[in-house]
Amino acid sequence: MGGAVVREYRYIGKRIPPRDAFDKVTGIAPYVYDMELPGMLYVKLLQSTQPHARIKGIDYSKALSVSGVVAVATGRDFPFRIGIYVGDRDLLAIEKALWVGHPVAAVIAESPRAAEKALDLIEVDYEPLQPVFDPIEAMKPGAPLLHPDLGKYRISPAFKPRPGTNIANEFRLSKGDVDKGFSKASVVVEGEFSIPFMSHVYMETQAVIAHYKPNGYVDIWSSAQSPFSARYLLAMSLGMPVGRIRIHVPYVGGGFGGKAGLGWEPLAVMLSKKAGYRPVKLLFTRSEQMRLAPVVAGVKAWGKLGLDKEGRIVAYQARFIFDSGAFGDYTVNVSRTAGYACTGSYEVDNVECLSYAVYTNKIPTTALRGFGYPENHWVLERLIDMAAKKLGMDPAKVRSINLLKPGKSKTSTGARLREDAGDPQRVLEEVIGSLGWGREPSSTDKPWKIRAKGFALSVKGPSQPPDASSSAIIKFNEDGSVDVMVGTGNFGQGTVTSLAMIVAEEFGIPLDKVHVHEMRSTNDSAYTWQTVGSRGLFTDGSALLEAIKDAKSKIKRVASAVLRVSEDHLEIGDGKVYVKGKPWHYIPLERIVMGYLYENGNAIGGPIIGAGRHIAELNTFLDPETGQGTPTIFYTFGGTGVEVEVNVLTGEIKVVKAVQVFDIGKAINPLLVEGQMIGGFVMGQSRALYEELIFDEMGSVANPNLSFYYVARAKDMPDEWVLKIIETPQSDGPYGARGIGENVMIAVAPAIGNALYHGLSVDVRSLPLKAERVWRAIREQNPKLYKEALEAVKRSIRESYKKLREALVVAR
Amino acid sequence: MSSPYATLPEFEYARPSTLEEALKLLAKYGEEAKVLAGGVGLITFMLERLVSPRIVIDIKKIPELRRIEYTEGKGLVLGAAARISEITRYMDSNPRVREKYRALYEALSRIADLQIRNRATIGGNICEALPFMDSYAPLALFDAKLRIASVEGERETTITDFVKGPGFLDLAPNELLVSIELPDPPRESRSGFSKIVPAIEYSVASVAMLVANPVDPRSREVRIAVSAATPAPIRVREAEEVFRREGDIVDLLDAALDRMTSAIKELVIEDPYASAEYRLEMLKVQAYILFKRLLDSFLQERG
Amino acid sequence: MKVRFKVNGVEREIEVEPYELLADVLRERLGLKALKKGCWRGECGLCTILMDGEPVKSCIILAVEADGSEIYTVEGFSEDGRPSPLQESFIRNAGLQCGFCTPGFIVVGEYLARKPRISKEEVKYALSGTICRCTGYKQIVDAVLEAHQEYRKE
Repeated sequence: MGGAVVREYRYIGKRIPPRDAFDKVTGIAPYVYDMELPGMLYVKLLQSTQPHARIKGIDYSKALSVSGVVAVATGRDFPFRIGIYVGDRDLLAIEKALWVGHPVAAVIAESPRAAEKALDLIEVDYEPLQPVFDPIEAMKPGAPLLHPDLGKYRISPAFKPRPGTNIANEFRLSKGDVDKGFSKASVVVEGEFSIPFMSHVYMETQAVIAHYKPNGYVDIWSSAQSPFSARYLLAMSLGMPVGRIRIHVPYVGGGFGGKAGLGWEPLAVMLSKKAGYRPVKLLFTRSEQMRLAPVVAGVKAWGKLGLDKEGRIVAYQARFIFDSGAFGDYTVNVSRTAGYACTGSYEVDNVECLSYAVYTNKIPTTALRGFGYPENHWVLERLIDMAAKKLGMDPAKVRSINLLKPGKSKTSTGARLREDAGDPQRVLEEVIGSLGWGREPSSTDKPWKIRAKGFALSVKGPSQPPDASSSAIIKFNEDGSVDVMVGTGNFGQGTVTSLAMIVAEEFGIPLDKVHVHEMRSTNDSAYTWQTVGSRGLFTDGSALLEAIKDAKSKIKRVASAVLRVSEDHLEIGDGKVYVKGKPWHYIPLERIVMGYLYENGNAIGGPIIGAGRHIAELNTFLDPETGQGTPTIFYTFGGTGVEVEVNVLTGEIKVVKAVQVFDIGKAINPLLVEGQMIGGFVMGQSRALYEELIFDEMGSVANPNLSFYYVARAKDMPDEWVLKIIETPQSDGPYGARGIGENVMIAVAPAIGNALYHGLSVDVRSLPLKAERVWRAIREQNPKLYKEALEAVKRSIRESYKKLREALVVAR
Repeated sequence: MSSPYATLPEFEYARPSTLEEALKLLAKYGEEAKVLAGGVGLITFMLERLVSPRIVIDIKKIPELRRIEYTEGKGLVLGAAARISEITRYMDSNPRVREKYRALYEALSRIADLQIRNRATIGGNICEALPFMDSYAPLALFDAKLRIASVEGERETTITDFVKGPGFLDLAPNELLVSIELPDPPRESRSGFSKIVPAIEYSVASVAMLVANPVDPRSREVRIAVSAATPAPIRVREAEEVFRREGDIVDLLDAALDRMTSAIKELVIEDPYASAEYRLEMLKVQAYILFKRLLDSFLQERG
Repeated sequence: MKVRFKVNGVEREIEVEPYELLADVLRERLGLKALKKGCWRGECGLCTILMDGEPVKSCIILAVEADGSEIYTVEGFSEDGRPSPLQESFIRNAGLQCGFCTPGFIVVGEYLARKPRISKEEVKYALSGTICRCTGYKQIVDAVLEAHQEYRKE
């Protein structure tokens, strides 16, 4: 970058501890889970015991007689459906129960104990209907229909459900001519892949408190990622004015997409009304969380990739069938995203990707960190390694040849990739360099344990509607300190800290003079569409910079009068406004931000407020037939490398080394960026190796707890970490920054899958890579390896035995 | 496993300070009583409404039940309410005892996690009656005697007779597991424990093994006990006998494990967490690796 | 039933029902809300407290069982509202994100960091009874080890 001026920053780029850490380490941070209101009641939901059944009657007379029970509600009380993208959700089962766990009734009581007692006394009369659990079966004509009224539901414009079937969304990306492309291929690989349902396991389970007041105003406290969207949808569904609903969001105990969109607010609001306008609290136990609150869709996928003899991708075809469970609400967007971004980091001229979200009689599903991308990368990044091997070419080389070229290439949706989108080639080089790709992995001291290396690349941008917007407001206090109001939620992702650093940098004031008020309530905070999609820093940060600019110009206007120079000649920094080139001519900010007082008592100006906004300009809807258009504001390129140790005899995998490389434009705070890279890796590892919701023959979640649904623990994390941040700034990002939050977990599973593929010649296409699955694959695909390992153990037994005998002889 | 409940059902609570008192309560309430030791199992079961006792009898304040004591020649005595972490700590401060009962030590020190081991008791672990309880294989390995008492008197049993299958113990409603006695293992023996926990918190195949006098066929003793893969713990004596023979050590091990396979293969559990085939193979694989580790520990001893 | 115990250094006497869980009593009755529940069955470790010096999971302990014991929760580690050296170490190392599990980790962390000797491997295993979904644990492990060095100096 010859000639580029490297700016010295006071805060930007520094490793600054999270601003909310004090509240969290001392435990004083409040979550909805902790909150109580005077006169508050507790809700408990009765879960369906049937996967698909007509509800003929619900007898709750006995429940009502339990001391402390205030009311019982059923689906009859709320005969309408809601949703963010597809309005297919009911508050409580309307007429039909759609999965084992579907809430069919709600008890509202003075205490959780009374509610639980009453729950046991409700009798439901079910008329069982034929269920369907497999999404492929569910797509077939004649399959039992979950939503016969699909055609009447409210649908967002970007989605295409097929009424009269179980298809909640159908998406097609089509570019070039795949048949022609494949005809030029030297090698073609194809395969079926799958990913199971998983649970987000954010540590704070769903929690919401609602108070429907008799005067028609509603207050809600919700552990939510999308309070503004939720408020709007709630107002529309309930026919209420938006401004009468206020959603408060304190600290959020993790979301990962699972608290995006519309949550349990509508039910809580309606139950508050039902309970005589008293506040009610809905809090799920982990078991409820994993049986009735939305989880993450399982996927059955297929992909076919063709390379020519130089290793160029000539055609790619893929199909994704997302098992959305009983509701498709957010999963339709997951399916759309998997489809439109199916070609990953590569330029492919001939593409056809089909993606569906399909209803089945299982727990409903929603967004998860990076949605659509972990799924399409699990297919494509594995196929590339398979094709490379078949062609006899280094998979790094194949990737290098096909990588999108910023400024030149067109993405899967036909949009030209911006010149400053990042440096994917360098990402690739850093990944393979740090991993020592091409060098043999170190050997282990146990002959039955083999080390293997693998890597995969990733790319992702926020999946949001074209008009998704953000805003920010800053205002000054008497001491020159700044209050910042944004709408981004605080789940610990670090945005709040980064935004504070931006303000401190821009005004040259100490960081502790900046107070960022992240999302507090829809009335008190600046608007942001949702806190999802790794968009917060980019969108809300951009809005904040505009607000800062606004405030600066207002300060300069006043200062111009006081200092008697034109506004153009003024500069703001070091907590002062001063004359360019003559910094001794200045006014301290605190003397101007509340209005300037002249010596004679005249005053001008007034409290300074800056406002800014951001909208994704020039994004478009995608063409309904071909999926072409501009869907996103940035793409962040990255890559993940792993070295794993596989116990050949048991199939157990231990990740010994993790490499994470991301071109995020600018790391506002590397300490927190690394936190994302580490946390995202371990979450990705957990999904790759352990996590799977298991369904019984009733389609019911059989492991709704954290003993049989295992998530990674401290003992599972890799021993060695290489974390690399590349900074190719994007001109419209704050200080050049792009998002990172979700990208960090996308390539982990394919990197581990590729490690097994290269190191053990074992090709596993279903997640998770649980010990038995890997063990079985080794036995079936590379029996020699297994046999040799067992022989090696036996040989070493003989050796030890011999040594022991000799030692005894000597001893005698 | 699918309870939505956040509160416990209502019950009465008794905290006897003598064994006699506890037995009287058990006699009085019988099936309506549940014994509380560490609570790790019982409280979870109550939250899930798998049990709803009228009275919970907390036995932790009975000094006799908290015993952890090793006597040369007699062996190790563990009171039923001795905490897992107390037992491992006792062994850590008595390394000789730890090495004698190494398989038990390895099993106990890897139960669940730090917090659970600080609460869970050996008696609770035994009485939870789920196939994967970690104490089972080592207790079978060491020929542990379980002392059971009731107001009518005392009796003695073994872990394999006591644990009949999932949720099924040879324990009358008025009886209480009082202590576990592990006789001294053979002199100069080595033992170890191995388990497979594939993306769940519990083992799907556990093996405990003991070896004494490995290179002398006449005095050689090899013991093998398995659990988790089978509904109840099994001491695989038909496999152990093989080691009395002469011959190549690996051939003997192969033959022993073949015998083990034929003895237990009809019993092996199949569920969504592990197939019977995998569990059986994991018993074998772990047995090989464990045997090798035990031989090496003899070698290390000799420097 | 009457339960007498010492919580964060203060003697307390409180009337509880036999079926009340210790976690609920500490949270709802004594207002120690830093303590959380994430699983309701002894799996996630968010409700970890020190009971007679040992970390235990209070969501599967009856309040009556705590009679006569000495209990510490997160609230008991900071002095005059100032974070303890371990808490400072968590802040410095960014050993937290959403913060919901943090109280659980602080309690086990204090227990580990104050031991005379601990290895990284021991810390990893000892922290494995508590689940964090955000951080990936590395910065938590680092925070505990760093605080251990400081406590050793004291």
